[in-house]
Amino acid sequence: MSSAIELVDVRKSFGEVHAVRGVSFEVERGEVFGIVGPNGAGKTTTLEMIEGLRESDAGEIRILGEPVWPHPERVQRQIGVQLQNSAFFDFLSTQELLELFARFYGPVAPERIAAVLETVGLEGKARARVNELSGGQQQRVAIALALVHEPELVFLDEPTTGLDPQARRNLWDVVRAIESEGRTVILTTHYMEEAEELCDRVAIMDGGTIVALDTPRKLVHALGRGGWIAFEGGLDRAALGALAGVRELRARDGSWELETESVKATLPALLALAEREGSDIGWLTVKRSSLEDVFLELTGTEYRE
Amino acid sequence: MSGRLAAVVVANLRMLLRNKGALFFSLALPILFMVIFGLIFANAGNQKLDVGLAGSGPLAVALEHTNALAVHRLPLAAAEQKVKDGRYPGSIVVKGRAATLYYSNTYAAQAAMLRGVVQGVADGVNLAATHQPALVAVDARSVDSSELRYIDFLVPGLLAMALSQSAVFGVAGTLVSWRERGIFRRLKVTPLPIAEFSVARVISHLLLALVQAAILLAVGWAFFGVHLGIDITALVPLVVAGALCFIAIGFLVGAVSRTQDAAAAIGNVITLPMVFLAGVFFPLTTAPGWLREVAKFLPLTYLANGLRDVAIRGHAIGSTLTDLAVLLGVTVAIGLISLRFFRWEAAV
Repeated sequence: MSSAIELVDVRKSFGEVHAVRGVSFEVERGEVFGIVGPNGAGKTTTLEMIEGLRESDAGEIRILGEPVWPHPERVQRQIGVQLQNSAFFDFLSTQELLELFARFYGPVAPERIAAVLETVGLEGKARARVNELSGGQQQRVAIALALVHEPELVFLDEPTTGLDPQARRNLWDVVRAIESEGRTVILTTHYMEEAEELCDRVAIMDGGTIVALDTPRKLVHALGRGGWIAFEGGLDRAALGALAGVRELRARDGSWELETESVKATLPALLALAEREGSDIGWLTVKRSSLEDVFLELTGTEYRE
Repeated sequence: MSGRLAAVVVANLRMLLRNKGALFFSLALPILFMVIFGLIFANAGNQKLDVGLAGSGPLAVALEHTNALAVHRLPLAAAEQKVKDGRYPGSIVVKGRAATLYYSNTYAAQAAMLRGVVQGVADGVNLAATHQPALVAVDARSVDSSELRYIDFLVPGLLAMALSQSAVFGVAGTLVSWRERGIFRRLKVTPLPIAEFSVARVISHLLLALVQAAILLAVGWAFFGVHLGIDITALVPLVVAGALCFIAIGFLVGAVSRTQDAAAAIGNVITLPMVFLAGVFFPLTTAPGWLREVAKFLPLTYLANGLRDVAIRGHAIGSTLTDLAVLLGVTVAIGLISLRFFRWEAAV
C-alpha cells in the first residue's frame, strides 16, 4: 500500500527566495505527522504544495500514490484542510456551513454532519452563527470543515495558535479523536510540547530543508542531553562540577541548575555529595530534555521575523 | 442546474438575505427616497394656485369657479398687503369692470402662471359678454397613454439605482473581504471549481436583483399609486442585464481594491455621481447639452430609461434592445478588464 504522502526532492522559489530547497519525506497512513520550524522555514509553502494550492518548481508530490499535480482536484477529495487564520462565510450557522462544504464533495448525509459536530465537540452549536462563536470554537469549526467529507488525510496548520490553555488541551483531544478514526494527520505548530504530545513523528524544517525527522523520543535522545537537575542547597561549585555526567552548571537565586548527560549517573552522586557535606537539599526537580531543546539546538536561538 | 450548484446558490442567497446592512441599501434606502421625493412632489402637476380675491362681479364669479385656482376671499384693504407679506403668490381685486392682479416675484413661477390664468378667465368673461361662439377651442391632452406623474418617473429610476448599488457594493466588498480573509484559498483546497462557486454567487445576486425589482415596484404601486404597465418578458431580461453590468463593475472595483475601505470609496465615486448624471431623480431634459452627452456614456442611464419604458410605459422587449445591448456590452468589456487585475489571494 502506498504511503499517505510522499515528497521527493521538492523545490519552490519565489524570485530570488528559495523557500523550499529539496524536501523529501514520507508520511505513513494513520500517523500524526508534525512539521515544525521557525517562521520562514518553508513549512507553509511545503503544505501549500501538498494541498494543491501551489505548484512545485521541481520534485514529486504524491498523496495516496496519486501525483498532486497537474490535477490537484483529484486528490483534494481525499484531503481535508484547516488553514491558518481560518475564516468563514458570514451569516451562516455552523450546520449550514458544514452542509455547504460537505456538498462540495457530494450529496450530504445529515448523520455525517452530526457525527462531525460530535467529534469536535460542537453538538450544541449547530444553529449558532459561526462569527458568534469563541476563538476555540471557531477553530473547531475549521477542523470540522476539514473532516466533513471523511478525508483520509487531514491537514491542521497551527490549529492551536492564539488559543488559551484550556482550548488548546481541548483541541489536542480533537486531534487524538481524528487519529483514532484511522485518519492521517499532518500538523504544524509552534508549540513543541504540543508536537511532542500529539505527533508520532516530527520533521524539523529550517531554511527550506528538513534538518531532522524522527519520533519525538528519538529526536530528544539523539540530542544526547540527559536532562536538567535543579535543586536548592549550599554546595560547592567545584564539587558539583566534578560530579559524574555534569556538563554545565548554573547558579540561580541560591539554587543550582545542572545539565547532565545522564540523570541516572548524576542524581545518586549529587545525593551522596550532599550527604557527605552535610548539606540540606531544600527541593529538587529533574527535567528531561524536550523537543524544544532539540528545536533550539537545530535551528538556533536567533530571533527571526 | 446541478444539485451542487443549486446548494451553493442557496447558501449564497442566505448570506445575501441575512446581511441586514446591505439590505438596507438594496431595499430600505430606495423606499425611503420614494417616500421623501414622493411627498415633496405629491401634487406636482395638478396643484391649484392659491390666490386672494376681493370684490364682486362676473369676473370674480368666474375666477371662483376656475379649477386652476384655490380662491381665498379677502377684504379689499388686505388684498395687496397679503401678497406683500408672502401669504399668497398673488391676489386679485375686482372693481366693476377693472381688475387688478397683485403678484410677487418671489413666487416667480406661480406668478407667471397666475397671470396667464387670470388673463384667460378674463378673456372668457369678455367673450361670453359678446354672445359670440368661440373661434378656437383648445383641448389639452397628456402625451402619455395615461396620466404619468413624477413618481412614475422616479420609481424606475430608484430601482435602477438600487440595482446598481447593491451589485457594485455587494460584489466589491465581498470580493475584497473574502480575498483578505483567505476564504478563496479555503475554497481552492476543495474539489469545487472556483468558477462554479463564482457562477453560483452571480446567480444569487441576479435572484436578489429580481426580488428587489419586484419589491420596489410593488411598493411604488401599492403606496404611491405608480402606474405599472409591466411586460414581464421585457422586465426580467432588463433587470438581469442591468444587474450583470453592475456586478461586473463591482468585480472590477473589488479586483483593484486592497481593502474594504478602498472598495467602498471607489464604489461611491463610481455610483454616486452616476445616480445624478444618469437622471435617476430628475429628468435631464433641462440639463445642459454636455451633461446629456455624459449621460449617454453611463450604463445607469440605459438601465433607468429601459426600466421606465418597460415598467411604466409597458413597452415590449423590442424597445429595450439598445439598452440591453449597451448593458451587456459594458458587462463583457468591464469583465475582461477586471480579469487583468484580479487575484484570488491577498498579496503576500
